[in-house]
Amino acid sequence: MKQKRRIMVLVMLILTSAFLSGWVWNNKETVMDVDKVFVYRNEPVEYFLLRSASNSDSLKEDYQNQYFMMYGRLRSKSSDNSKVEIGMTTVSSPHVLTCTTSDEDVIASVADVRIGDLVKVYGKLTVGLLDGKWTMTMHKIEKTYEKSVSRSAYSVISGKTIDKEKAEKRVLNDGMVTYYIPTSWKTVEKDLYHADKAEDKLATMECYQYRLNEIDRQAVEPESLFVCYFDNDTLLLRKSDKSRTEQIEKTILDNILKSPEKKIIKKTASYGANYHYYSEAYTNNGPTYHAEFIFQPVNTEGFVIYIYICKNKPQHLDEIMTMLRMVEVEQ
Amino acid sequence: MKKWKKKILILLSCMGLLLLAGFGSQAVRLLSEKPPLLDLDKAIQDAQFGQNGNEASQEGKDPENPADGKNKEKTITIRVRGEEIWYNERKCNNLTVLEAWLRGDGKSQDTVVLADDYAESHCYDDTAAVIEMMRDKVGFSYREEEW
Repeated sequence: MKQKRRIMVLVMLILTSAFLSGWVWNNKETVMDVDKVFVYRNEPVEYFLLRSASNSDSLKEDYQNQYFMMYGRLRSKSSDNSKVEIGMTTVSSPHVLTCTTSDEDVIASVADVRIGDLVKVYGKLTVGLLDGKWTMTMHKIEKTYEKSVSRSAYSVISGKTIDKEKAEKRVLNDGMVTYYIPTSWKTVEKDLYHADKAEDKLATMECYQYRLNEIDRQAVEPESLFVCYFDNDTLLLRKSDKSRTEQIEKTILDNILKSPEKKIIKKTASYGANYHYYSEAYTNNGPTYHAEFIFQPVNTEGFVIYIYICKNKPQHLDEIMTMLRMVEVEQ
Repeated sequence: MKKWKKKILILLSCMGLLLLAGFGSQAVRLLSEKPPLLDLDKAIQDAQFGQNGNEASQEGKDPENPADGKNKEKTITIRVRGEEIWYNERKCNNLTVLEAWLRGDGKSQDTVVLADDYAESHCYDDTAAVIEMMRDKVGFSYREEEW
Protein backbone atom coordinates (compact mmCIF):
# COMPACT_ATOMS: atom_id res chain seq x y z
CA MET A 1 0.00 0.00 0.00
CA LYS A 2 2.80 2.38 1.01
CA GLN A 3 4.66 1.53 -2.22
CA LYS A 4 1.57 2.33 -4.32
CA ARG A 5 1.15 5.67 -2.54
CA ARG A 6 4.77 6.58 -3.22
CA ILE A 7 4.39 5.78 -6.90
CA MET A 8 1.23 7.89 -7.10
CA VAL A 9 2.95 10.87 -5.46
CA LEU A 10 5.87 10.56 -7.87
CA VAL A 11 3.58 10.41 -10.89
CA MET A 12 1.67 13.48 -9.62
CA LEU A 13 4.91 15.37 -9.19
CA ILE A 14 6.05 14.50 -12.71
CA LEU A 15 2.70 15.54 -14.21
CA THR A 16 2.65 18.82 -12.29
CA SER A 17 6.14 19.59 -13.45
CA ALA A 18 5.16 18.74 -17.00
CA PHE A 19 2.29 21.23 -16.87
CA LEU A 20 4.50 23.89 -15.33
CA SER A 21 7.21 23.46 -17.94
CA GLY A 22 4.65 23.38 -20.75
CA TRP A 23 5.41 19.88 -21.92
CA VAL A 24 1.70 19.23 -22.37
CA TRP A 25 0.87 19.05 -26.07
CA ASN A 26 -1.08 22.00 -27.43
CA ASN A 27 -3.03 20.85 -30.45
CA LYS A 28 -4.59 24.24 -31.37
CA GLU A 29 -5.10 24.09 -35.11
CA THR A 30 -2.70 26.16 -37.19
CA VAL A 31 -3.43 27.71 -40.56
CA MET A 32 0.07 28.13 -42.03
CA ASP A 33 0.76 24.46 -41.42
CA VAL A 34 3.72 23.11 -43.42
CA ASP A 35 2.56 19.57 -42.65
CA LYS A 36 -0.77 20.14 -44.37
CA VAL A 37 -0.25 22.73 -47.10
CA PHE A 38 2.54 21.64 -49.41
CA VAL A 39 4.44 23.81 -51.85
CA TYR A 40 5.83 21.98 -54.88
CA ARG A 41 8.98 23.12 -56.55
CA ASN A 42 8.59 23.05 -60.36
CA GLU A 43 10.98 20.83 -62.31
CA PRO A 44 11.15 19.61 -65.91
CA VAL A 45 11.49 15.84 -65.51
CA GLU A 46 14.45 15.70 -67.93
CA TYR A 47 16.52 17.76 -65.51
CA PHE A 48 15.85 15.26 -62.74
CA LEU A 49 16.29 12.21 -64.96
CA LEU A 50 19.64 13.37 -66.33
CA ARG A 51 20.90 14.05 -62.82
CA SER A 52 19.69 10.69 -61.50
CA ALA A 53 21.27 8.91 -64.49
CA SER A 54 24.61 10.50 -63.65
CA ASN A 55 24.13 9.34 -60.04
CA SER A 56 25.02 12.74 -58.68
CA ASP A 57 26.01 12.80 -54.97
CA SER A 58 23.86 15.75 -54.13
CA LEU A 59 20.73 14.11 -55.52
CA LYS A 60 19.47 12.83 -52.18
CA GLU A 61 20.03 16.18 -50.49
CA ASP A 62 18.02 17.98 -53.18
CA TYR A 63 15.20 15.49 -53.75
CA GLN A 64 14.72 12.95 -50.96
CA ASN A 65 11.32 13.48 -49.24
CA GLN A 66 10.84 16.75 -51.11
CA TYR A 67 7.70 17.98 -52.82
CA PHE A 68 7.92 18.59 -56.55
CA MET A 69 5.74 19.32 -59.53
CA MET A 70 7.31 17.27 -62.32
CA TYR A 71 6.60 18.33 -65.88
CA GLY A 72 6.97 15.63 -68.52
CA ARG A 73 5.32 13.42 -71.11
CA LEU A 74 3.15 10.48 -70.08
CA ARG A 75 4.88 7.32 -71.35
CA SER A 76 2.81 4.57 -69.75
CA LYS A 77 0.18 3.84 -67.16
CA SER A 78 -0.89 0.65 -65.41
CA SER A 79 -4.23 -0.99 -66.16
CA ASP A 80 -5.65 0.02 -62.75
CA ASN A 81 -4.36 3.62 -63.18
CA SER A 82 -2.43 3.49 -59.91
CA LYS A 83 0.97 3.85 -61.58
CA VAL A 84 2.33 6.03 -64.39
CA GLU A 85 5.70 6.65 -65.93
CA ILE A 86 6.66 10.09 -67.19
CA GLY A 87 9.57 10.81 -69.47
CA MET A 88 11.33 13.63 -71.20
CA THR A 89 9.30 16.00 -73.35
CA THR A 90 11.84 16.93 -76.01
CA VAL A 91 13.89 13.81 -76.67
CA SER A 92 13.14 10.15 -76.83
CA SER A 93 14.87 8.42 -73.92
CA PRO A 94 14.36 5.19 -71.98
CA HIS A 95 14.69 7.05 -68.67
CA VAL A 96 11.39 7.56 -66.88
CA LEU A 97 10.14 8.56 -63.44
CA THR A 98 7.66 6.16 -61.87
CA CYS A 99 4.74 7.78 -60.04
CA THR A 100 2.31 5.82 -57.90
CA THR A 101 -0.85 6.47 -55.91
CA SER A 102 -3.50 4.71 -53.84
CA ASP A 103 -5.78 7.75 -53.72
CA GLU A 104 -9.07 7.16 -55.58
CA ASP A 105 -9.34 10.76 -56.80
CA VAL A 106 -5.85 10.69 -58.26
CA ILE A 107 -6.54 7.29 -59.87
CA ALA A 108 -9.59 8.85 -61.51
CA SER A 109 -7.40 11.69 -62.84
CA VAL A 110 -4.94 9.17 -64.31
CA ALA A 111 -7.82 7.69 -66.27
CA ASP A 112 -8.39 11.10 -67.88
CA VAL A 113 -4.86 11.56 -69.22
CA ARG A 114 -3.60 9.75 -72.30
CA ILE A 115 -0.22 8.33 -73.27
CA GLY A 116 1.74 11.04 -75.04
CA ASP A 117 0.08 13.92 -73.18
CA LEU A 118 2.20 16.61 -71.54
CA VAL A 119 1.43 16.34 -67.84
CA LYS A 120 2.14 18.00 -64.51
CA VAL A 121 2.54 15.55 -61.65
CA TYR A 122 2.51 16.89 -58.07
CA GLY A 123 3.93 14.70 -55.35
CA LYS A 124 6.67 13.65 -52.99
CA LEU A 125 9.92 12.08 -54.18
CA THR A 126 11.59 9.21 -52.37
CA VAL A 127 14.46 6.86 -53.17
CA GLY A 128 14.42 3.14 -52.40
CA LEU A 129 16.95 2.14 -49.75
CA LEU A 130 17.83 -1.15 -51.43
CA ASP A 131 17.45 -0.54 -55.15
CA GLY A 132 18.23 3.19 -55.20
CA LYS A 133 15.26 3.75 -57.50
CA TRP A 134 13.42 7.08 -57.35
CA THR A 135 9.63 7.11 -57.13
CA MET A 136 7.08 9.85 -56.74
CA THR A 137 3.96 9.43 -54.60
CA MET A 138 1.36 11.30 -56.63
CA HIS A 139 -0.91 13.93 -55.06
CA LYS A 140 -2.26 15.17 -58.37
CA ILE A 141 -1.82 14.64 -62.11
CA GLU A 142 -3.20 16.82 -64.87
CA LYS A 143 -2.80 17.36 -68.56
CA THR A 144 -1.11 20.62 -69.51
CA TYR A 145 -0.63 22.65 -72.67
CA GLU A 146 2.34 24.60 -71.30
CA LYS A 147 5.51 24.30 -73.36
CA SER A 148 7.85 24.45 -70.39
CA VAL A 149 8.12 25.15 -66.66
CA SER A 150 10.54 27.33 -64.75
CA ARG A 151 12.84 25.76 -62.14
CA SER A 152 12.55 28.90 -60.08
CA ALA A 153 8.77 28.53 -59.77
CA TYR A 154 6.77 27.04 -56.91
CA SER A 155 3.19 25.78 -57.03
CA VAL A 156 0.48 24.71 -54.65
CA ILE A 157 -1.91 21.83 -55.34
CA SER A 158 -4.53 24.18 -56.83
CA GLY A 159 -2.03 24.97 -59.56
CA LYS A 160 -1.40 28.56 -58.41
CA THR A 161 2.25 29.26 -59.19
CA ILE A 162 4.73 31.96 -58.23
CA ASP A 163 8.03 32.31 -60.07
CA LYS A 164 10.75 33.58 -57.76
CA GLU A 165 12.51 35.34 -60.62
CA LYS A 166 9.42 37.37 -61.43
CA ALA A 167 8.41 38.04 -57.83
CA GLU A 168 9.30 41.13 -55.80
CA LYS A 169 12.41 40.68 -53.67
CA ARG A 170 12.58 42.04 -50.14
CA VAL A 171 15.39 41.88 -47.58
CA LEU A 172 15.55 42.01 -43.80
CA ASN A 173 18.48 42.61 -41.48
CA ASP A 174 20.74 44.01 -44.19
CA GLY A 175 20.22 41.04 -46.48
CA MET A 176 20.59 38.22 -43.99
CA VAL A 177 17.00 37.28 -44.83
CA THR A 178 15.54 37.48 -48.34
CA TYR A 179 11.92 36.88 -49.12
CA TYR A 180 9.82 37.12 -52.25
CA ILE A 181 6.28 38.42 -52.56
CA PRO A 182 3.79 38.10 -55.43
CA THR A 183 3.58 41.29 -57.48
CA SER A 184 -0.04 41.75 -56.38
CA TRP A 185 1.20 42.26 -52.81
CA LYS A 186 3.23 45.35 -53.77
CA THR A 187 0.22 47.64 -53.76
CA VAL A 188 -0.94 46.47 -50.33
CA GLU A 189 2.45 46.60 -48.65
CA LYS A 190 3.04 48.88 -45.68
CA ASP A 191 6.38 49.47 -43.98
CA LEU A 192 5.52 49.80 -40.30
CA TYR A 193 9.09 50.44 -39.13
CA HIS A 194 10.64 52.96 -41.51
CA ALA A 195 7.48 55.09 -41.79
CA ASP A 196 7.98 58.86 -42.20
CA LYS A 197 4.98 59.84 -40.11
CA ALA A 198 4.90 59.02 -36.42
CA GLU A 199 1.33 57.73 -36.61
CA ASP A 200 2.32 55.22 -39.33
CA LYS A 201 5.27 53.84 -37.35
CA LEU A 202 3.59 50.88 -35.66
CA ALA A 203 6.65 48.68 -35.08
CA THR A 204 9.96 48.98 -33.25
CA MET A 205 11.43 46.06 -35.21
CA GLU A 206 11.68 45.67 -38.99
CA CYS A 207 8.14 44.90 -40.05
CA TYR A 208 6.16 44.88 -43.29
CA GLN A 209 2.39 44.47 -43.28
CA TYR A 210 0.60 42.98 -46.28
CA ARG A 211 -3.10 43.91 -46.18
CA LEU A 212 -4.24 40.95 -48.24
CA ASN A 213 -7.95 41.77 -48.03
CA GLU A 214 -7.25 44.89 -50.14
CA ILE A 215 -5.79 42.98 -53.06
CA ASP A 216 -9.15 42.37 -54.74
CA ARG A 217 -10.40 45.87 -53.83
CA GLN A 218 -13.30 44.35 -51.95
CA ALA A 219 -14.73 45.34 -48.62
CA VAL A 220 -13.97 42.32 -46.46
CA GLU A 221 -12.72 41.76 -42.96
CA PRO A 222 -8.99 42.32 -42.43
CA GLU A 223 -6.62 39.62 -43.56
CA SER A 224 -3.02 40.59 -42.96
CA LEU A 225 0.37 38.99 -43.03
CA PHE A 226 3.22 40.67 -41.19
CA VAL A 227 6.84 39.78 -42.00
CA CYS A 228 9.22 40.97 -39.30
CA TYR A 229 12.77 40.57 -38.12
CA PHE A 230 13.64 40.53 -34.41
CA ASP A 231 17.33 41.30 -33.89
CA ASN A 232 18.61 39.79 -30.63
CA ASP A 233 21.55 42.18 -30.49
CA THR A 234 19.55 45.39 -30.59
CA LEU A 235 16.27 44.39 -28.95
CA LEU A 236 17.23 42.17 -26.00
CA LEU A 237 18.22 43.69 -22.65
CA ARG A 238 20.91 41.08 -22.01
CA LYS A 239 23.12 39.67 -24.79
CA SER A 240 23.59 36.55 -22.66
CA ASP A 241 19.93 35.65 -23.34
CA LYS A 242 20.53 35.20 -27.09
CA SER A 243 20.53 31.41 -26.96
CA ARG A 244 17.30 31.16 -24.91
CA THR A 245 15.12 30.76 -27.99
CA GLU A 246 11.85 29.66 -26.42
CA GLN A 247 12.02 32.27 -23.65
CA ILE A 248 12.68 35.02 -26.19
CA GLU A 249 9.67 33.89 -28.23
CA LYS A 250 7.46 34.00 -25.13
CA THR A 251 8.76 37.47 -24.26
CA ILE A 252 7.92 38.68 -27.77
CA LEU A 253 4.41 37.21 -27.51
CA ASP A 254 3.92 38.83 -24.10
CA ASN A 255 4.91 42.18 -25.57
CA ILE A 256 2.64 42.05 -28.63
CA LEU A 257 -0.39 40.12 -27.37
CA LYS A 258 -2.51 40.84 -24.31
CA SER A 259 -1.90 37.60 -22.44
CA PRO A 260 -0.62 34.67 -24.45
CA GLU A 261 -1.38 31.45 -22.64
CA LYS A 262 -0.82 28.61 -25.03
CA LYS A 263 2.23 26.56 -25.87
CA ILE A 264 4.60 27.04 -28.78
CA ILE A 265 4.68 24.07 -31.17
CA LYS A 266 7.83 23.22 -33.10
CA LYS A 267 7.85 21.85 -36.66
CA THR A 268 10.49 21.26 -39.29
CA ALA A 269 9.43 21.68 -42.89
CA SER A 270 10.44 19.13 -45.54
CA TYR A 271 12.84 21.73 -46.95
CA GLY A 272 14.64 22.02 -43.61
CA ALA A 273 13.29 25.27 -42.16
CA ASN A 274 12.51 25.25 -38.43
CA TYR A 275 9.24 26.91 -37.47
CA HIS A 276 7.90 27.57 -33.99
CA TYR A 277 4.13 28.09 -34.05
CA TYR A 278 1.84 29.98 -31.73
CA SER A 279 -1.82 30.70 -32.39
CA GLU A 280 -4.80 32.05 -30.48
CA ALA A 281 -8.18 33.72 -30.82
CA TYR A 282 -7.23 37.42 -30.63
CA THR A 283 -9.80 40.03 -29.67
CA ASN A 284 -9.35 43.44 -31.23
CA ASN A 285 -11.78 46.06 -29.86
CA GLY A 286 -14.73 43.72 -30.35
CA PRO A 287 -14.17 41.36 -33.29
CA THR A 288 -12.18 38.18 -32.69
CA TYR A 289 -9.52 37.13 -35.16
CA HIS A 290 -7.33 34.10 -35.60
CA ALA A 291 -3.80 35.30 -34.80
CA GLU A 292 -0.95 33.01 -35.75
CA PHE A 293 2.76 33.54 -35.18
CA ILE A 294 5.61 31.61 -36.74
CA PHE A 295 9.07 32.18 -35.33
CA GLN A 296 11.94 31.12 -37.59
CA PRO A 297 15.18 31.28 -35.59
CA VAL A 298 18.23 32.60 -37.43
CA ASN A 299 20.94 30.84 -35.39
CA THR A 300 21.10 32.89 -32.16
CA GLU A 301 21.16 36.19 -34.08
CA GLY A 302 17.43 36.73 -34.20
CA PHE A 303 14.13 35.59 -35.61
CA VAL A 304 12.09 36.03 -38.73
CA ILE A 305 8.54 36.40 -37.41
CA TYR A 306 5.49 35.83 -39.59
CA ILE A 307 2.20 36.99 -38.09
CA TYR A 308 -1.07 36.09 -39.79
CA ILE A 309 -4.38 37.69 -38.87
CA CYS A 310 -7.65 36.54 -40.38
CA LYS A 311 -11.31 36.21 -39.65
CA ASN A 312 -13.17 33.07 -40.72
CA LYS A 313 -11.64 31.35 -43.74
CA PRO A 314 -8.18 32.38 -45.00
CA GLN A 315 -8.38 33.79 -48.53
CA HIS A 316 -4.70 33.98 -49.49
CA LEU A 317 -3.19 30.92 -47.84
CA ASP A 318 -1.73 29.58 -51.10
CA GLU A 319 0.32 32.73 -51.66
CA ILE A 320 1.40 32.90 -48.02
CA MET A 321 2.70 29.30 -47.99
CA THR A 322 4.53 29.84 -51.28
CA MET A 323 6.11 33.04 -49.92
CA LEU A 324 7.17 31.07 -46.83
CA ARG A 325 8.73 28.34 -48.97
CA MET A 326 10.80 30.80 -50.97
CA VAL A 327 12.39 32.57 -47.98
CA GLU A 328 16.21 32.45 -47.96
CA VAL A 329 18.13 32.78 -44.70
CA GLU A 330 21.91 33.10 -44.46
CA GLN A 331 23.07 30.60 -41.86
CA MET B 1 17.60 7.02 9.48
CA LYS B 2 16.10 5.30 6.49
CA LYS B 3 13.01 7.50 6.79
CA TRP B 4 15.12 10.66 6.72
CA LYS B 5 17.02 9.47 3.67
CA LYS B 6 13.73 8.85 1.84
CA LYS B 7 12.43 12.32 2.73
CA ILE B 8 15.63 13.98 1.53
CA LEU B 9 15.46 11.98 -1.70
CA ILE B 10 11.87 13.08 -2.34
CA LEU B 11 12.75 16.70 -1.56
CA LEU B 12 15.71 16.65 -3.94
CA SER B 13 13.56 15.06 -6.66
CA CYS B 14 10.97 17.82 -6.25
CA MET B 15 13.62 20.52 -6.49
CA GLY B 16 15.09 18.86 -9.54
CA LEU B 17 11.71 18.74 -11.24
CA LEU B 18 11.05 22.39 -10.43
CA LEU B 19 14.40 23.35 -11.91
CA LEU B 20 13.52 21.41 -15.04
CA ALA B 21 10.26 23.35 -15.15
CA GLY B 22 12.27 26.53 -15.33
CA PHE B 23 11.80 27.97 -11.90
CA GLY B 24 14.68 30.02 -10.59
CA SER B 25 16.02 31.23 -14.00
CA GLN B 26 15.97 34.92 -14.89
CA ALA B 27 13.22 36.03 -17.28
CA VAL B 28 14.26 37.24 -20.75
CA ARG B 29 13.61 40.95 -21.06
CA LEU B 30 13.51 43.38 -23.96
CA LEU B 31 15.65 46.50 -24.07
CA SER B 32 12.46 48.54 -24.14
CA GLU B 33 8.93 47.33 -23.33
CA LYS B 34 7.13 50.41 -24.68
CA PRO B 35 6.14 51.14 -27.35
CA PRO B 36 5.40 47.49 -28.21
CA LEU B 37 7.37 45.65 -30.89
CA LEU B 38 4.21 45.81 -33.01
CA ASP B 39 0.99 47.73 -32.37
CA LEU B 40 -1.18 44.90 -33.64
CA ASP B 41 -4.48 46.55 -32.67
CA LYS B 42 -3.78 49.67 -34.73
CA ALA B 43 -2.39 47.69 -37.67
CA ILE B 44 -5.55 45.56 -37.82
CA GLN B 45 -7.77 48.61 -37.38
CA ASP B 46 -6.04 50.47 -40.21
CA ALA B 47 -6.35 47.45 -42.50
CA GLN B 48 -10.14 47.67 -42.42
CA PHE B 49 -10.29 50.86 -44.40
CA GLY B 50 -9.30 49.51 -47.75
CA GLN B 51 -7.09 50.57 -50.63
CA ASN B 52 -7.88 54.30 -50.58
CA GLY B 53 -6.87 54.77 -46.97
CA ASN B 54 -3.70 52.76 -47.54
CA GLU B 55 -2.68 54.86 -50.55
CA ALA B 56 -3.20 58.15 -48.72
CA SER B 57 -1.01 57.17 -45.79
CA GLN B 58 1.70 55.59 -47.96
CA GLU B 59 2.13 58.65 -50.15
CA GLY B 60 1.83 60.99 -47.20
CA LYS B 61 -0.67 63.23 -48.98
CA ASP B 62 -4.16 63.31 -50.41
CA PRO B 63 -3.78 62.27 -54.08
CA GLU B 64 -6.33 64.89 -55.13
CA ASN B 65 -4.68 67.71 -53.18
CA PRO B 66 -0.91 68.02 -52.87
CA ALA B 67 -1.33 69.80 -49.52
CA ASP B 68 -1.92 67.82 -46.37
CA GLY B 69 -5.21 66.01 -47.00
CA LYS B 70 -6.10 65.63 -43.35
CA ASN B 71 -8.29 68.74 -43.00
CA LYS B 72 -9.82 68.67 -46.46
CA GLU B 73 -13.58 68.17 -46.37
CA LYS B 74 -14.95 65.36 -48.46
CA THR B 75 -18.23 63.72 -49.38
CA ILE B 76 -18.87 60.12 -48.48
CA THR B 77 -21.58 58.55 -50.59
CA ILE B 78 -23.37 55.54 -49.18
CA ARG B 79 -25.66 53.93 -51.71
CA VAL B 80 -28.20 51.27 -50.85
CA ARG B 81 -29.22 49.11 -53.79
CA GLY B 82 -31.67 46.35 -52.90
CA GLU B 83 -30.04 44.90 -49.80
CA GLU B 84 -26.50 45.87 -50.78
CA ILE B 85 -24.63 48.73 -49.19
CA TRP B 86 -21.94 50.55 -51.20
CA TYR B 87 -19.49 52.93 -49.52
CA ASN B 88 -17.96 55.27 -52.13
CA GLU B 89 -18.56 52.47 -54.64
CA ARG B 90 -16.87 49.82 -52.51
CA LYS B 91 -19.11 47.02 -51.38
CA CYS B 92 -19.74 46.99 -47.65
CA ASN B 93 -20.51 43.55 -46.25
CA ASN B 94 -22.61 44.56 -43.27
CA LEU B 95 -23.60 47.37 -40.95
CA THR B 96 -20.77 46.60 -38.52
CA VAL B 97 -18.23 47.26 -41.27
CA LEU B 98 -20.11 50.41 -42.29
CA GLU B 99 -19.95 51.69 -38.72
CA ALA B 100 -16.22 50.94 -38.49
CA TRP B 101 -15.53 52.71 -41.77
CA LEU B 102 -17.48 55.79 -40.79
CA ARG B 103 -15.72 55.89 -37.43
CA GLY B 104 -12.29 55.74 -39.00
CA ASP B 105 -12.89 57.62 -42.22
CA GLY B 106 -15.48 60.24 -41.31
CA LYS B 107 -14.46 63.67 -40.02
CA SER B 108 -16.55 66.49 -38.61
CA GLN B 109 -16.04 68.60 -41.74
CA ASP B 110 -17.30 65.83 -44.07
CA THR B 111 -20.70 65.29 -45.63
CA VAL B 112 -22.28 61.86 -45.75
CA VAL B 113 -24.86 61.32 -48.46
CA LEU B 114 -27.25 58.38 -48.25
CA ALA B 115 -28.55 57.50 -51.70
CA ASP B 116 -31.60 55.36 -52.39
CA ASP B 117 -30.93 53.18 -55.42
CA TYR B 118 -34.07 50.99 -55.36
CA ALA B 119 -33.21 50.05 -51.80
CA GLU B 120 -35.09 47.53 -49.71
CA SER B 121 -36.81 49.67 -47.11
CA HIS B 122 -35.59 47.73 -44.06
CA CYS B 123 -32.00 47.86 -45.33
CA TYR B 124 -32.28 51.58 -46.07
CA ASP B 125 -33.73 52.31 -42.63
CA ASP B 126 -31.02 50.28 -40.85
CA THR B 127 -28.30 52.04 -42.83
CA ALA B 128 -29.79 55.44 -42.04
CA ALA B 129 -29.87 54.54 -38.35
CA VAL B 130 -26.15 53.67 -38.36
CA ILE B 131 -25.26 56.88 -40.20
CA GLU B 132 -27.29 58.98 -37.77
CA MET B 133 -25.63 57.27 -34.81
CA MET B 134 -22.18 57.98 -36.25
CA ARG B 135 -23.17 61.52 -37.13
CA ASP B 136 -23.87 62.13 -33.46
CA LYS B 137 -20.48 60.72 -32.50
CA VAL B 138 -18.26 62.12 -35.25
CA GLY B 139 -20.13 65.31 -36.13
CA PHE B 140 -20.28 65.13 -39.94
CA SER B 141 -23.25 66.53 -41.80
CA TYR B 142 -25.75 64.15 -43.36
CA ARG B 143 -28.34 64.26 -46.11
CA GLU B 144 -30.42 61.82 -48.11
CA GLU B 145 -31.07 61.82 -51.83
CA GLU B 146 -32.27 59.68 -54.71
CA TRP B 147 -29.57 57.93 -56.76
